[in-house]
Amino acid sequence: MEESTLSAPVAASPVIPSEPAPGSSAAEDRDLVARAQNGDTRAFDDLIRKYTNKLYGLVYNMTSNREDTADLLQEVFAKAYRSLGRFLGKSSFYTWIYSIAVNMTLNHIKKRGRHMKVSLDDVDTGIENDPDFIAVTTAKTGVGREVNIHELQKRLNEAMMKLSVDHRTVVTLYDVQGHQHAEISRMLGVSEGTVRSRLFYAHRQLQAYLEDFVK
Amino acid sequence: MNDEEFEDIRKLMRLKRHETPGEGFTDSFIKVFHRRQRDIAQQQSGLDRFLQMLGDKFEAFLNPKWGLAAAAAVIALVAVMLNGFNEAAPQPAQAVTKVEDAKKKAEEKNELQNKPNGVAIPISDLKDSK
Repeated sequence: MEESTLSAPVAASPVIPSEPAPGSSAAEDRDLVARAQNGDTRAFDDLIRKYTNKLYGLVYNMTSNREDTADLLQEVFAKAYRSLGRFLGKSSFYTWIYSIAVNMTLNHIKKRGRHMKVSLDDVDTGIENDPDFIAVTTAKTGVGREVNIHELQKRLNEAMMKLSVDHRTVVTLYDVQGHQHAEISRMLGVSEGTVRSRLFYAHRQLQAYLEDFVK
Repeated sequence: MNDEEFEDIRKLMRLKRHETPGEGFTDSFIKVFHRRQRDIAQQQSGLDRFLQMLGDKFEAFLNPKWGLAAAAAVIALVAVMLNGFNEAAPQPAQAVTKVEDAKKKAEEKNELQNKPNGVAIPISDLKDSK
């Protein structure tokens, strides 16, 4: 790996334990954050390594553009690195960096407005063995139906892009990434009721857009 | 309610997890991250870094909630300042009252002076002398 050339962020105060980060080791994060705050740049690399894929999924599914996603993700980690010294641990690192990523992505989408271009990632081959894919490709009559993966991908992304940005965000966090309502509420700074309500309206719209796949 | 009703849609959306940037993305991402940070460190002057830090620190205040609070505070401050200014400067009505008070005082003084041993001064003279 390339040698670390980062200058260390200055810690404001020790990290205080907070709520656990579901799906990841909160204790490990606290240790990595504390080390990074004390100048261990390798520890920050480990945090990048740990969260890149998850945050990539978040940004990519909100923008449907792989180039923008890679650039935005660089900015997200750069901002997190600059701000790490002021991270007090009131929330988990996981929630904190997700909040940064969501806010930066929302700002990016607002700036781009209608000029957003679609540029999709490849679909990995694992999809063919995914029970959800099998369920989708098996008609309720029990007769298998042909579903072109690329056509499905295109339709899913089109449907996502038709949603408002707030609705797209909750669908990404809840359906695609599997976060709980409470976590999403903390990440977005809105009530759980708002999260549930946005999800309800988003699902209803998606059902209309993707009617032929869910019949 | 929501989850059960829309289970099929949720299954479809979960398939988006299979859209991935491909193997090796993270390693090249970290390399790019280091290169960018190094470039930024070389290019940025001390002032730039200070401004960047300041920007990061006060970004929270760009939240609409804080923006409204700041606007309300500015309006309140301006209102207080204007109020203070108005109190300090005599209002037209107050100015008229002051002239009338001065006239009354002059008349009273004149009356006193019209008493024996006093010298009468015409009111018009008083006005002119003002």
